[in-house]
Amino acid sequence: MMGMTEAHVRFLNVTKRLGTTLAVDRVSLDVPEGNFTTLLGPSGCGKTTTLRMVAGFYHPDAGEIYVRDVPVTDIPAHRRNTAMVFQEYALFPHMTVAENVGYGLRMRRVESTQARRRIGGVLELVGLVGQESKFPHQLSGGQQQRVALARALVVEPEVLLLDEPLSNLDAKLRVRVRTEIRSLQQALGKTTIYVTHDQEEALSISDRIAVMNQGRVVQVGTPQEIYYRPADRFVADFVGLANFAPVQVVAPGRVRLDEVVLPVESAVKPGPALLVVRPETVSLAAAAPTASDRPALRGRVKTVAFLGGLARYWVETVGREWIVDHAAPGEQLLSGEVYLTLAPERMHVLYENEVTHDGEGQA
Amino acid sequence: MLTAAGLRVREVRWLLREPALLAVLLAVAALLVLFVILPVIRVLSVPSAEHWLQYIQREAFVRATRNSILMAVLSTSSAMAVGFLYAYAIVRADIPAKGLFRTVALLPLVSPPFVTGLATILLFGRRGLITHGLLGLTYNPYGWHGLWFAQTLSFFPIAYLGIAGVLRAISPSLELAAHNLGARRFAVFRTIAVPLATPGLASAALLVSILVLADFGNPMLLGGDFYVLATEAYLQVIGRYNMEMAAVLCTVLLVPALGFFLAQRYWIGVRAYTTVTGRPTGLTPLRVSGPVRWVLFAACLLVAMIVLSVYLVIAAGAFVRVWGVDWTFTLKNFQYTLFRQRDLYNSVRFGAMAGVITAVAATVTAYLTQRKSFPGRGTLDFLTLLPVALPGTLVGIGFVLAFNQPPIELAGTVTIIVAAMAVRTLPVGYRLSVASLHQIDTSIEWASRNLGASSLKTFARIMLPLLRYAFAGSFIYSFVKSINTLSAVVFLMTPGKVVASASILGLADHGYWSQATALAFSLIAIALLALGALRLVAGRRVQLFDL
Repeated sequence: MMGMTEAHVRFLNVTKRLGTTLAVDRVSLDVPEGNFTTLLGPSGCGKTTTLRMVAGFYHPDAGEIYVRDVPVTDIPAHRRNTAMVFQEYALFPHMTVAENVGYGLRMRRVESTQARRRIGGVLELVGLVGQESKFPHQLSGGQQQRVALARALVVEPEVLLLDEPLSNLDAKLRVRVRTEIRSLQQALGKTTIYVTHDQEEALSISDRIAVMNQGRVVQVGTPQEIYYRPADRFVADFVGLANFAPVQVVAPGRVRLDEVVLPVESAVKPGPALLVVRPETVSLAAAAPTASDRPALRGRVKTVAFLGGLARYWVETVGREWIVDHAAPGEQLLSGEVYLTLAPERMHVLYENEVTHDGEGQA
Repeated sequence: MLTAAGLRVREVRWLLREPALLAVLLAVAALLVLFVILPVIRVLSVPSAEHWLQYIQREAFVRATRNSILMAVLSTSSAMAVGFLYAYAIVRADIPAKGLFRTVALLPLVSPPFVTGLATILLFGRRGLITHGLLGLTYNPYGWHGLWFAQTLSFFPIAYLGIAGVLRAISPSLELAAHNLGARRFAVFRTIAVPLATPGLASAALLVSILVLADFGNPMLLGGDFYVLATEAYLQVIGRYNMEMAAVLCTVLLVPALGFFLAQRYWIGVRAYTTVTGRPTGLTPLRVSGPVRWVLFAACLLVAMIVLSVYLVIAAGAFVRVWGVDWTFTLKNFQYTLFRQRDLYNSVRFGAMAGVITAVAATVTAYLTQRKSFPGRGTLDFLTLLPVALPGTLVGIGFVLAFNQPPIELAGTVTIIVAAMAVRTLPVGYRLSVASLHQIDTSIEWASRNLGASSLKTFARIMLPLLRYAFAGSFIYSFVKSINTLSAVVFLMTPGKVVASASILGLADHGYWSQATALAFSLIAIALLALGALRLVAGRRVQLFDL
């Protein structure tokens, strides 16, 4: 995916200090044309600061941001065509829906009949026809969110910026609106930078994800790359659930975990490493699998949580605890002695230098 | 990483990209330098060492200083005592008629400060209603005792506001906890309320003493031969045209006020003379016991009656022929104030102009300091708030010194009077705007910029409409204070540009009590109408006097 298209937005060693903290630390990132890129990370990781620098609310202390190869640092916020949807929506409380949506057009001196047509069009797009003359406080949270989106889309921005736009919606609505945003973005082919701390949201909506931690971009990749091949322990831990186990790579494709030697496809370089195993890649059985080239680990079920579509087991093997997700578990849950089988092609190996030092063992 | 200097350079570069914003910023800065800094510098630089030597040596000046301190100590103590009773009763005791008491405390804040002095004369003077009319005494209220009485009444509302804020800020849960641990009501008061309130009380007392020190109207009216620094400075200007000596006396007044201002800024971080206002929590504070409650109520009632009698006397004076001699009802005093002279009209016109200037300057400056980054932002904030620490007499004399000669010759113009009024009320207007701005999320402004509006357009289309109540509040505050002000404008008036407050003083000085009270009554009525209009427009969204 990377490098296939010309970068539409390019961050080059962008650094920003806020007060005494280094909010953004030498961030380099390419966002291709038409791409939906998500900046994902815990709060305080610098993702929102990075987004605000694209909009021109903050200015990099060092480095440069390019939009279509033009450096933008010296362009004031109001001359950049980078419409943003704010977390708090930031609707103008003294203006109606139509006035809010039309604000950007008025600033661009768009002639009024044309402006009216565009406002009508975009309100239709977000499903707000008939609400034109209401004030923001008369709308529900979801409707306010749509006004904010319409207000940003109507100016036909070069780049669309979304700053945690769903965080003020309830869980069900959040899922619905994020699907709508994604299909709108795909229909319009709009280059979009999206900020969120919600890994599930990031995985579901993005073409590409840039995971950030402590001001730095730690990994860029497709949602699948990020999930199955995390660059370090932080990413593996932050995105989804993972079991971690220290192992020794004894030969290409073979690792030793405690006393057992397991086949692991991604293990190449011999030496100490950390095995990353996603809970749903482990299979669970009540009896030892017969006639298998994969050694099974024997363990005991400590606890189980039934979540409807899956059952989540905490299984204890010798000196170790595993989280295992069992899809479509049915009404009978396992207990007592069980056997874990690990899929050689679904496990991921992190070598020493990639392991961030925040402890060993279980997730 | 960039150095601080590098960041400064960046900030300047940003400003250069929005020339309109830069122009506004430079204009605001220039006006502040011209009307705040320049007059202060002139006052400080005019006197020579010789004048300072005279100040120390001359008996009259030493006495005026001693009198000022004496009056500040006496009036602060009594105002604080009355203010504490009042505040404690209203905040902590379940007494009836709280609304009435609050309204009564508002009156001295919105009327000319020398109204209490005027009423003191009408009640206790040679022809006083009580002394002469009822008791048949010949009592002379002129001097330190009459002045003390008038200053106590004038300034106890300030003490009350400060103390009420402090008391409200003490969480009821602390007192309830002490009570719960076995402390009796008085023990709670002594061990919890008093220690917690002490810093706030000290701050309120300092504020009151500085206001008493700087007050000019009451000492002028009631002092007799009890001269204080402010009146002595006036005498030096008007009687001897000794501007240098007047400047020395003003500087002496400036020192404590400036010291307090800087200390507050440094320690509390609270902007200027703000009082702490705590929102009531869910818990009900510990109420005082029955008998104490009625004692407090009686005390409040007494204070309220005295304050009300001041205003009733002013009203009565306005409607009788000759105070103390001919008590016949008449309207001719108003005929005089409304039609025979232009002073009241001048007051309203100048006050309205000052109000507009203050409201605009306060809103614009608040937007700049709170939402824009540029070198000297802190200095701009400081300069905007500084006038709160400048005694009116100093502003008046400073304006005379700064603007009575080229290059800026404003002496005798309306501009100089309006500018003095606006400068004096700018800090409060600014604070109102800053408080309002803090209610508006930054993202609202960012959204506007993000959609293509420049800083100025964002200000005009988004911020200004959202700040409209603060704007109205600044305007009304400035208007009310400006029509009542005396100490600064008294130095700046020329024939034809006399304002009502000065005119009242002149009329009272010559014993035209009826005309003086009619004029004072009109001023108070206008001020109350203005406040009523604000309430109508903004409801309870703007609290000017925190009542």
